[in-house]
Amino acid sequence: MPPKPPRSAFPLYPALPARLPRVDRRRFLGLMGASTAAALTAGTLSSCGSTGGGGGGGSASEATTLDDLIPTHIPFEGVAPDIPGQHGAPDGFTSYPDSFITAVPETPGRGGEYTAMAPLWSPLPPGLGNNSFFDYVNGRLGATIEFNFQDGNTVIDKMNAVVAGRDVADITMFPDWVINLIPQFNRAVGELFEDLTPHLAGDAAAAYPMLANLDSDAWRWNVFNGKLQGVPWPAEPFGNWVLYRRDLLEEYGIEPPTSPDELFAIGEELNDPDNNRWAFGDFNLSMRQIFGAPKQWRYEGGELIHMFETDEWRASVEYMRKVFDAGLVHPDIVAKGDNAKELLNSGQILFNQDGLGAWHEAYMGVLGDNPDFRLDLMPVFGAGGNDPVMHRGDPSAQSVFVRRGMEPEQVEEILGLINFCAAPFGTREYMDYRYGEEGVHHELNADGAPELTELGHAEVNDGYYFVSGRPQAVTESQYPDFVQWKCDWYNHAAQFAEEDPFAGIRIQRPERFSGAETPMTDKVEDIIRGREDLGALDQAIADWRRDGGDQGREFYMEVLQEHGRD
Amino acid sequence: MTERTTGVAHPGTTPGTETAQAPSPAPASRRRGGRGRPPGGSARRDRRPGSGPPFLAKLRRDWQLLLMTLPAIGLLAVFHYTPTLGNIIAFQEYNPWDGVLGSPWVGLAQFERLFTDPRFWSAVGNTLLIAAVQLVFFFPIPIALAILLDSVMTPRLRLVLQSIVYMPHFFSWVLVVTLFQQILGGAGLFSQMLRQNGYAPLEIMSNPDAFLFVVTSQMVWKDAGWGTIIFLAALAAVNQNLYESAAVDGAGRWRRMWHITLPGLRPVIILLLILKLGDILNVGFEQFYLQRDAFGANVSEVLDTFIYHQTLVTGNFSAGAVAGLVKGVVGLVLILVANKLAHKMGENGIYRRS
Repeated sequence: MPPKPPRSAFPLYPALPARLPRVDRRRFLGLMGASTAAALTAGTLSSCGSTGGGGGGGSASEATTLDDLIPTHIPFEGVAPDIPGQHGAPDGFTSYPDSFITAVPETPGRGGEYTAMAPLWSPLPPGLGNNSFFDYVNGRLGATIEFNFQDGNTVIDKMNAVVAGRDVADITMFPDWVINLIPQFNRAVGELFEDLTPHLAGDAAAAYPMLANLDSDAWRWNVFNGKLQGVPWPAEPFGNWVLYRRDLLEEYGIEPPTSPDELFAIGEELNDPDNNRWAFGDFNLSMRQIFGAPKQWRYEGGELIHMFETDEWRASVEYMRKVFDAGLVHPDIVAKGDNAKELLNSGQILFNQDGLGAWHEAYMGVLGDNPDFRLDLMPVFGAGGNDPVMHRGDPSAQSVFVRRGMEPEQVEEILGLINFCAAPFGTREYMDYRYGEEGVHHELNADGAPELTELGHAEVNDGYYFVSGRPQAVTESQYPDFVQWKCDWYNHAAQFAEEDPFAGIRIQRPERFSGAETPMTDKVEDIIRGREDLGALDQAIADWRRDGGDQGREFYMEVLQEHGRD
Repeated sequence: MTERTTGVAHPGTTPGTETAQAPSPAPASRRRGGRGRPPGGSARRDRRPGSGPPFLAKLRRDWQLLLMTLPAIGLLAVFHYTPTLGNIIAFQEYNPWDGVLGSPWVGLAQFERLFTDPRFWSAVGNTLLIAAVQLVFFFPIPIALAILLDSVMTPRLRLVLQSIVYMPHFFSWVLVVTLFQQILGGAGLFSQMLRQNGYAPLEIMSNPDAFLFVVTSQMVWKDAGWGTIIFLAALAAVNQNLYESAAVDGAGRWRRMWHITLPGLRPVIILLLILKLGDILNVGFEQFYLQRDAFGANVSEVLDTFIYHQTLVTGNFSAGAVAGLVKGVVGLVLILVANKLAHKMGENGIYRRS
């Protein structure tokens, strides 16, 4: 049995569950902007521009000049990575360390009892009192955390009600996309949750060395209304990319592509519907990046140009249309089926875009039956000799908040518990909160990697893992070549990361702006799938501008000006 | 008293109040005469509603029945009537943080926005088209199937057949859509067979022109069997002696069906037709949501999926409430009109003012 993989470590791309409102993360960002805008000015940090509840406002918090509000970054000297990440890519560990480092020498808790709320993408474990894993970790913490788990697939519905009902737990975790979908979260956050600035800003964080070890951008992302409110979950820089069947391509004797044309040629060569094999799934989002379109806005000569208005994006749409027209895409995917993972894993398609986490998930499911099964990320390349533009995800994928109205000592105790749960890979604490007690919940195999015991499978869960974030690392060394290949890809791809003019600014998008995106994406799907001609693009873009695009441009322009980035 | 004083203040309203009061004795008398209730004291006391003893008497007589309705009323109150009040967010710029009481009022602005949105009208058009096709091509099938099943004489065989045709009703739409995709899709069973024999594959599962055909077939496959239940019950109620007498008189199979079976089913058919009409804007959510992207929003966006994309995807709950309200009002009007029509045709419809 391989160790329990951190499947739910990627709740942002929750294994692309069956039918979320679409996997395109942009749509999650689309948020009701009935919100009042609580935009934050860079210098004074005073809230300004409340548009009084009327329709369509968005809001933005500035982050780059908020260094006074976030912890001073003090790197933790833990286990040295085997493959250090470059350009912001995560570190890689090709094996488990021989001995684990103690990161938190003293028991952090003082016997307090706290509730915690977090989503869970796995079956519910036995509750506190019937679960020796909870008992063990609570013992290590010196405090009792009692979890109230939400079904991860419907967490948005639940959290909307939790926030509106002002009924939060002592420790509450929100995936970032949920925060973006909850109307008025900006207003709710200060009322419901403790301001952590006095506890963590600047050198105060030295009391919590594991938290001080977290990435500063991720901390900045958790500043709301001029206050540090949440503890971040530092995210890998990229969310989605094209995975391909490296084993099958090697069987064919074909090298991975280095240009869009080569990719197309490979597709035509390998496409074989008569034998139930198609070349491709959908990889629209990756193609945008290959052709060099911006993730959202490009700031050029004092103007904001939206992705939809760039020639690069149009070229990517034309390319996708060509791919679909040539019949290279599996019919199930043409019909928007949600079985792309199975198709890739069974070899009915050879290239498919997915969340990066899909890679080791596939290994977990398939390697047992087919030890030669190999995936890899398609090398990053540009079109027409240009560099690609890799779209970064937001720096923090989820946030942990502390309920407001507790005694300062209690807040400090909770931060101590969070600090414990932020211990990175290679520490004793990490092994404890992820895999429980050695010899009881997990055993170390010959390679020093943990394997859950039967009891561990029944009881171990991601609860404590979700109480804090920790530096991202590629650690799934139980899978052959996985860490090496993924780190190689990352260290190459990360150098092409986009310079987003809005980097670090948390923005709630105006409602009309995000609303205009649905018809636009629908139209693009129609065009790519051949239901509409490419010529329809111009009209669609004009409609998008009229129905909210231009309004969004103004809003974003103001954000730039407010933050002195224009 | 108050009516009279307002009547004095606004003379125009007096006739109105009078006519409004006038019909009240009429139903009572019709009830007395028409329904053949046992004449006697209770009927006469009915004329003065609100007076004590008859009400208590009725309560004494019916309390068990009333008690039995309580759970149902409770359910309705909690899950239907109370949430109905939430419709006021249609007149607000609602957000859950401020709640129904705190959100700003915007009057009819949400309605205006909805009615000027071409996507809304496109969704209405698609919904009506799909509903019309269902009405013509789906509605008669359970009737035919019920008559067919009813004609199977062996009880055991009939039971088996019934179970088979009911079964798909219990499959979820996800399963039905997947099944269709697996069999009729571009990489499905049929397409692969065609390919291997050198023919062009089927391409109906992502072809917008085939959309109506595909969704209607799915619906027939899934729910036609289930729809027979009520008709089978109605068929069982048809007096068998009529068939025998007709057969004796020399009526063939078709004659008997035309003159006995179908008239026997008529009230049920009309009842279900009215209910269906009231439901016409509810063509279903899951089936269309699941296949929206396969066929494109142009043909497959129905009101329910439109509302979903308005509310949950962009968080604009008020817009969704407006669309839901419009849907409800249209449904109500259609039911009232259809019921009236049924009365004109001499049928009871779904209710009759007694």
